[in-house]
Order: sequence, then structure tokens, then C-alpha cells
Amino acid sequence: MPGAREVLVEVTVNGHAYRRTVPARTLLVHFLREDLRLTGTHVGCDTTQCGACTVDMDGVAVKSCTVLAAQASGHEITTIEGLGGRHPVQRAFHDEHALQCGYCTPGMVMAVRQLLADAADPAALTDEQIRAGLVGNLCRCTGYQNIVAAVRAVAREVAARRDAAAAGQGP
Amino acid sequence: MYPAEFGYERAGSVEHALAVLADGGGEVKVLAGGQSLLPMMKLRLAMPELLVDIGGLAELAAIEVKPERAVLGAVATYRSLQQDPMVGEAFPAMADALAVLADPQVRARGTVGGAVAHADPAADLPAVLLALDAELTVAGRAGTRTVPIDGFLQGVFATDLADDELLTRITLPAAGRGQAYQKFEQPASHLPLAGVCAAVEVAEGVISSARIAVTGVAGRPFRARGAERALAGAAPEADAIRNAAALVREEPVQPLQDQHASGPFRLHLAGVLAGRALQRAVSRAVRP
Amino acid sequence: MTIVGKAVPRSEDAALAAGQGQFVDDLTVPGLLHAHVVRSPHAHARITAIDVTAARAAPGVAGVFTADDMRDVGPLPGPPDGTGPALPLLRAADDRVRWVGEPVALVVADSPARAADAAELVEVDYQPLPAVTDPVRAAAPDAPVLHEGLLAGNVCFRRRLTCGDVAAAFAAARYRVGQRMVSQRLAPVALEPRGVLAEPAGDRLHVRIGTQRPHGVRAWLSQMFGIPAGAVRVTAGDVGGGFGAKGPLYPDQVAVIAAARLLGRPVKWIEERGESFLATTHGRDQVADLEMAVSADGRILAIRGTVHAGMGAYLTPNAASTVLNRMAPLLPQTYDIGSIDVELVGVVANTTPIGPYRGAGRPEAAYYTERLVDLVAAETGLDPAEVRRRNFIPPHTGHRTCTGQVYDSGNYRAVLDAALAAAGYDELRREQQRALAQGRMYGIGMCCFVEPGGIMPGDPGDQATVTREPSGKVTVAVGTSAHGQGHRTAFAQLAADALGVPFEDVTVVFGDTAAAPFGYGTFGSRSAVAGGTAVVRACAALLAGGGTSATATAETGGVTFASGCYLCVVEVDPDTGRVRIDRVIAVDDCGRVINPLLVEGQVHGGVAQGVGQALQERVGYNADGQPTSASLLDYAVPAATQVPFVETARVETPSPLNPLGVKGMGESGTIGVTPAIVNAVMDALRRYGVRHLDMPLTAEKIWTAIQGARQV
Repeated sequence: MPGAREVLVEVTVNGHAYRRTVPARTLLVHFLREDLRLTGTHVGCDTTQCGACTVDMDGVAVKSCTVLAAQASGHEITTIEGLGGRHPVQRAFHDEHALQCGYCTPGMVMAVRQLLADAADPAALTDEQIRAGLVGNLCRCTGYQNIVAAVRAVAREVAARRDAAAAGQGP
Repeated sequence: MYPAEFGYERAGSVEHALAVLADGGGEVKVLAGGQSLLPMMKLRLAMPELLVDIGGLAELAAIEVKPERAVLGAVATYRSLQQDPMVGEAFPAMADALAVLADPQVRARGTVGGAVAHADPAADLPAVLLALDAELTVAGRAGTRTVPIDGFLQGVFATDLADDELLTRITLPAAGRGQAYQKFEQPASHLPLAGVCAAVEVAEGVISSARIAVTGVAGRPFRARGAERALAGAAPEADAIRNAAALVREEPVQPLQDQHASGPFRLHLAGVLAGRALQRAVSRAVRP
Repeated sequence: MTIVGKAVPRSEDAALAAGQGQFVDDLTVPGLLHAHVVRSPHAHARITAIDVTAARAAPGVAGVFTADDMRDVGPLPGPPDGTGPALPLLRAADDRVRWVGEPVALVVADSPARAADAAELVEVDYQPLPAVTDPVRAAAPDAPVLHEGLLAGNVCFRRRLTCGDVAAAFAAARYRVGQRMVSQRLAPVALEPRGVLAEPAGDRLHVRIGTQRPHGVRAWLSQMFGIPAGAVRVTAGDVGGGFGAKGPLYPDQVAVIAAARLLGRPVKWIEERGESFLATTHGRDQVADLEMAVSADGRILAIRGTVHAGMGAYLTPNAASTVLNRMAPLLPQTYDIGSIDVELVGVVANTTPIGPYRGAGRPEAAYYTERLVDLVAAETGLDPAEVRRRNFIPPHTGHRTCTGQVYDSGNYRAVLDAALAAAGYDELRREQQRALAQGRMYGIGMCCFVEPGGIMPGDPGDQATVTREPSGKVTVAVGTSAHGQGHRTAFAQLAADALGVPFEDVTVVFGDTAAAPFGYGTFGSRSAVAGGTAVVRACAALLAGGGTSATATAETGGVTFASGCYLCVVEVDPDTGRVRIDRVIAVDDCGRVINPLLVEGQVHGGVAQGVGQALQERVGYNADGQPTSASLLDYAVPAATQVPFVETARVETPSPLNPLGVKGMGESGTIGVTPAIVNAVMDALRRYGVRHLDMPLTAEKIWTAIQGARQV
């Protein structure tokens, strides 16, 4: 029967190109964590619900526990490590106390990033829309309230920068 | 959390995928978005010998919205449907369902064809496809055939698809904008305990046709034909809607029953949601 | 400029938000092996045979272990007074399994996937036995019996808490208000699953483990393996939430450590989520039949009745004391109740063992009492706030309850008033009347409560060591062990003020027995009191004694009693029974506040879990003892769309018992909001004559009750 039990995975992660041969059954989250030692992406469940494993694949947030490394071959991945630590969302999470134990945080940051990118006007997002945008990410510590506040904070910052740019006051 | 071992082959074309399926002896599964299949494999509820990955086949991902019909590639993701303004414009009920289906990350990978081929009785989109009389294009080694969705979805995780066939397209005839989808979710899985799609045409002050599809309630999504018949020719007002909702509740189906909701409660919810979906559909029909 | 009391953003955040946390599963060492636990699929069965031959021969397998391989490992700690049996490690032929998920065997292989593959090859023959899961049914004389030698059948303790004169109180009572109430079994579901990485090195042992109690783990492992505690190093690292369930030491973790020592190789094991629903301790699981005696003017004279408390299949060290010491004596709550007579029946059953879960006894007590208080209001026709006012202990700095609890300070009237003012209570009641006139089901509910915290399980107390470098940088090492609570920030604030150094110059260390001085860990809302006091005393000792380093022990005057009042406004959809929470007002009095951001964060998180208990969470078992909610698909941990916005406010009644004036408060959200929600929903259903419904208040349950009432 055709089909290899091992696959060659060629993938760009956080701007670096990697080539690894792994068992076909390797999930992308395990490839990132074990083969590439990028342990910022976490595993919190086994039913594709908790979102702790969320990464960016070709510019879109996906749950890396429900993608095979084989499927990711030929694509571009950004993990939490690729945001640099001072990304506006990371800063807002700090300012608004939007994390406690920190386990859901990397996935939550990636999901928030997507939510803001998809919003035509982030500053106009309602609480309901923000919460609906985060329904794929579970948090047991924060009760989500400060995460919503962090989203608003980044949205305000984005809107302010856009207004400043529109007023010709620089980048 | 760790699937059993399997072989993996990336399909370079539909023909390639069909050839692999034909040789597979039933041990091959198609991998598109993987948002239904991979969770089952991680729990070892599914243990195929081989996966043939069609996710990269661009020819299966196209979305085409024309005045007389929309043709959705089976591998089009929920997200791509959400991001295409013509889809929401032509099919507001689909926009409703996409907004409440799964979560943004799953929508980024999950495909419309995957939902249909998986046939989870508690899935949102099949209700919309059923209400809108979707037709499915199925490819096999011998050629292609078209199947109406009502005949295709046969039961719990059971479809008309043979082991060596591939769902390639979903065709939706054009419909008016008088359509809506309403859902009551199971709080843990967020799947519908009941979901109802209503599509109505209003002409000269009466409902000229109504289509109502219910998901989550029975072993497969069903059309509430009794309610549909009662609405034909009725004035699009509260009494007719209430009457139709009651008829939905009384549909002669064997409802699903589990720790989350009893059969009678699911049927009750179907009635309530039908009323709400019809109200919304009517208001969209008269004021698009 | 003082920094204690300021909303200082956390020092923990930079690493965690950047994905640089070091949780157990993030760690790897050379030669690491991976374990997979083979668990019982039966609720109750005798094992007739175990065959590991095929598993041992599977690819990549280093070893397969059963109880026969671990006979020389001492027992896990159990309840201190021997009320019931502690958990065994693994099983062998002729052993019994007593709950679905009980560890039977352990497979160790070169990858987690291959360990999982090999685990499927372990052949265990079971002879199923009848099972029982409900604590009341398990206490019946004809129930299937789990263990020999307990008090009576499955009853492992039967104790009576009595004070005052209950008979006289009931004889004099104008009203008797009774209700059966269930505080249903819950799963803690910390986002990080449990795990352990065991690294043996000759006679020494280094264990990385997601634990709330690193020094406890060291002591228990030392005892179980017969190794001197000094040869055992326990590192908690970053821990992704605990909520009490990472307090106990578990048989699967110890079996992994034992296997690592037998193999002479490092071994890691991480629980899968579905596994965690079986293997990690659950909380609550009580059925209370309680009755209040009430005078004509609404004064509560007495509480009497029986509480059946499920223990699970075996007793973890604190399961009994949660009921006996943290639930029953707290029944008086904020009220001056003179007589109590409650029988507490601890029962084993074929279910996952019960362990501490946020609140541990206190949410149950608050629920029973506050639910009864609202029933008293309904019976007497008094406003629920008025019943509470008429029964509060007056403002005090030391009150002894008839059950022997000594509350350190409190002003419960002020806390209630603050909640009512924040809510706009009178306007809410007017809005309710308008809503009722429109046929809408609008309900208001409240809960006033006390929360004991700051417990010191032993003597001496937790320690803190403060070290000052020549550069001026300060390191504070402390024996408590945060897992999300922000101690690196809070304790740095304390030290900065105490020593007069910049906050940025203070580094806080904990969680590693090699670096942190002795402590009891973090649980039961104790760390600000125990850890904080030790830090402040160590700073004072440093200043007084000069030198570069000083260690001090926490000496507190005893358990502190925070208090609060939570108020909820709900609306119920009459067509579906679904509850919408419109407002949550949370007023907490936790004494002096070190960092208001951290306090609010704890309230938000506790409220989310309290909403979960009230509306959607429940661990279920079917008639055969099979779990029906062993997955996030069935166990409804609240998502962002299911948690309301919380309006928080504070009252500060300092504690006289410690120099900081702080009271522990991490669990108040779970204690306060659950009864408030249930009371609000029942208030909304009042016109239908529905007296009480058990949690979780699902849509179907409410809708069915409404239908039933409408038929009348």
C-alpha cells in the first residue's frame, strides 16, 4: 500500500527554514515542541477545544494540535516565540493583567492577534464580538475579563496610530 | 493524544486521490481540513491505514457565486466562505451559521466538504445546506455523479459516499435573502442541541415557499415538511410562524437523547428556534 | 513611596507571555523516556490476570510495571486519622480496581506515542463487580462494598458537629425551613495537565512536578522511597494552574518516579486531558439535607441535618478534613446562629477520589446556608437582604462561632451595604416588578459569606529568606508556591517597602526545594498571610541584624476570615430555560490589599468557576459507574462567551492576626457567586412556585420545572 509512515517536513517557522523527517502521525504541536524545541506552544486538551496550541499558519490562526506536521510542510508558521515578546498584544496582556498561570496565554495571544487582524474596525468591536472571537480558547484562571480589556487596549492603540497616520503625523 | 501509526500521501490531483482511494480497500481516509478526522484519530476512535491529503488541491477550494447558483469547492474552508462577501450576500443563513460554528481556528482549517462527508448529526452547516437544497458532486474512478444532500446524509456519521469516492463540489441554487439560521448550543461542545435554518420566499404579501431544516435533533438533519406545507400561501405573520413552529416540534422523527438534552426537549428547542429563524427570515425577505 | 497597595503589573508576565515559561512538559533531559498509564476501564472489578509480555516486546519499550514491581515503595499519605484507605500505586493480579481510571500498570518507552502504542498491548482480565457512584446510595446497607474494615460498609466516617441546644431552638421556632441541596461533583481542569519528570541520579532524586506543595512532595517521597529528604530535590517550575488538585501527590506520579529509579533513567509522564477527568481529583460531591429553625422575626436559631460527602474510591489526605473542618464548622457563615447539629457522613464510592478544589468545603457551606436563607426569606415574606441584616454577627475584631471557629474581624453589614449600593438594589427590585409585569423572568440573588484563609498546617510555619547583594539587589526566597497568583510581584512589593529598595531590584524565588526555604505551599488562600508574613519578618530581621541574609518564619495569630457579598441579576428565557447573567457585583473584604490587580484577577477567575458550578459543570457517572463527562466535549468549562462581566468592589477590615493585616482571598469568587446565581434564578422562578432546583441549572432543567409549574 502506498504512503509513507515517515514524512519529510519542510517548513518555515518564525522565519527559519527547517527540514526534518518525522513519523507521519506527528502532530504539528509536537513537531514544534519536541523536534524544534519551541515549547511556548502548549497542549491543554485532546479534543481541539482549549486553543492553548494556537499558532499562525500562513497568516491565519490555527490549532496546531489538529494539524499534522505533514500538512504543514511547504507552509509558514509563526509561533508565540516569533512575536518577539514586545508585541502590542503581549504588552497589553501585561498592562491589563490578562494572564495568571500563563499556560493558555501563548495560544490566547495568537487568537487575539487574529481577532484584531480580522476586524475591519477593532475599536468598534463589542464585548460580545470579542468574546465570540475567543470561544476557541479556554482560560481557567482569569475569567476572561482582563483578556477582553487587553483586546480593547490594543484596539485603542491601533485606532490611535491609524488616526495619527491619517492626520499625516507620521507612521 | 497520539494517533496510531498510519501512512500519509499528499494527493497531486483529484485523479491521484481517487486512485489511492480505489486501491485502499476501505482503509484509506481522505484528509482535507482534518478538523473532524484528526480529533477522532487522536482518541484512536478512527485508525485508518493511510491518509490521502487533498487539502492542497486548489481546484477543490474554489468558491464561485453566480446569479443562478453558487458552487463551493469541497475543500473550501469555513473561513474562506466567511471572508467572501458574495457568499454572505447570497446566503445570509450561511453567514449566520458560519458565525456560530466551532471557533475561528477550527473554521480556518475545517472544510465545507469535510462537514458534509463526516455527517455528524450535531453539526451546524448541514442544516443550511439541506434547507437550501444543496446538490453534491461526487467523483469516483468511473466518473462523477450528483446527489441531493437529503439523500446523501443517511444517518449518524453515515453518508452515500463509497470508500473509493470523493466529494468534490457543493452546489447551492440561488435563493432569496429571506433566510436565517438559529442555534441552541450544548454548553461544553458548542455543537447544536438544535439548529434550524429557515428559508422563505415572500411574494405579493404571502409566503410563496418555505424551507425549514433541523439539525442536532435527530440522527440526521431533516426537513420539516409539515411546517413547510402549512406556511405555503400563509401571510408572513406571527400566527403562521407560531403554527409552523408547533408543526416542527411535532415532526415524526426519533430524536437524539443524551445527558445534555432529552429527545422531547430537543424537539421543543427545534420548535422555538424555527419560530425565531422564520421571524428573522421573513424580516430579511421583506426588507433585504 | 509605598508600593504595597498599588496595582503593580506583574513581573511574571514577560516570560510567560513570550512563551518562555518552563512547565514540566517543556523540559527535556538526555536519555529521557516517556510513560503511559494503563488504567481500569471498569468502575469496580477484580483483576484475574495481567499479561505484559506483548507490551514489553513492543518497539521502543524500556519497561512495563505493575504493583509487583513496587512492593518496596511505601504507601501514599492518607487521611491523618486513618478514616479510610489511601490510594495504592498500581495493581497486580488478584487486586481490585475501584474506579474508572484507577492506575493499573505503567509502560515506559522512548516516545510518548510508542508508550501509548505499547499500553494497548497490556492485557488485563477483569471480573466486573457491581458499582455505586452516588454518596447517599453508597451509604445504604445494601450497596456494593468497596473496602473491608471501614466504619460501616462504605461509610468511612460519621461525625456529629453539635453546639447550643438545637432541640430547644426547633421547639421554639416559628418557621422550619428545610431543603435537600446537592453540591455536585466538579473537575478542577487546570489548563496544564498534571505531569512529572523524574530524574534519578545514584542515591539522589530530582523530581520536576507541577505541584502546589514542593516541600510536601519532598517529604512524602523521602518517606515512600526511604531516601533522606536532603537527597530529594523537588522543582515546581512554572505550574499552569492548580485550584487545589495539584496539592496531593498522586499514585501515577509516584509510579513514574519508582519506574525511573528502577530503570536508572529519567522518565517523563504528562496526563492527557481525557485522562485528567478520570485521574485528577474531583471536588465537592455532597448531598445536604439541612433545616433551619427560624423565629417569628426572621432570626435563624439553629441548623440541623445530615450531609453525605462522597470521598471517591480512596481517601486523599485532606478529603475528610475538608468536610469536617472546612465545611461543617463554617455553616454559621456571617450569622449569629446559636445552635448547630449536623451529622457528617463520609462515604466511599466507585468514583475518582475527591481532593481539594477551589474553596474546598467553604463553597459548599456557603451554598447550603445562603440557599436556606433565601428560602427563609420566601417563607417569612422578608426581603432576602433584610433576613441577612437581622442575622449578621455585629462588626467585630474577634468572634467565636458556636462551631468553634474564631473569626478575626469582620463587618458583614458594611459589605452587604456596599454590594446593595453598587447594585442599586432598590432600583433593581423596581426593575424586577416592571419585568414581571411584562412576563419576563427576572431574578436577583445574593450571597454573604466568610472565607477562612491563611491556614498553617503545621509548626513551624513557612519560611522566607531575604538576601541582599552588594549591588543592592535583593532576593526573597519563600516556602509558599504560586501557580498563577502573582507572588513574584506581590512579595516583591512587600520586600521593597520593608527594605526601602526599588521594586525592580527585588527577585522572588519559590517552588524549588533547593532554593526555597521550608514551606507548606500554596492552597486554601494562605500565601499572603503565611508567605507574606514570613517575607516581612525576614526583611525586618535583616534590617535589625545587619548582614547580608536573614531567614524568618511566619507566625500568624491563626486563620484569617475574609468576607464578602456577591449579588447577581439574571434573566431566564421562558421559551428555552436558558439563564442569562446580566450583572455580577462582587464585594470582597480581604483586609489589607497588597496588589488590587491580583485581588481582582482572583475574583474574576473564581467567579468563572462559580458560574461553572451554578450553570453548566457536573461530573457524571452512568449506572455502571462509567464517567459520562470525561472530555471537554461533555464537561462544560466556561468559555469566554459564558462568563459575565464582574463588577468588583472592596471593603477593608484589616486582620488583627498578622502584621500585614491581610486576609487570604483566592477562593472568594467560587464561594460567593454560586449561591448568588442559584438564588437569583430561583427568585426568577418564584412566580411558578418552583422552590428549589439543583445545580447545574441547565436550560432543560429550568424549562422542565417551569412546564411542571405551569400545569398546576
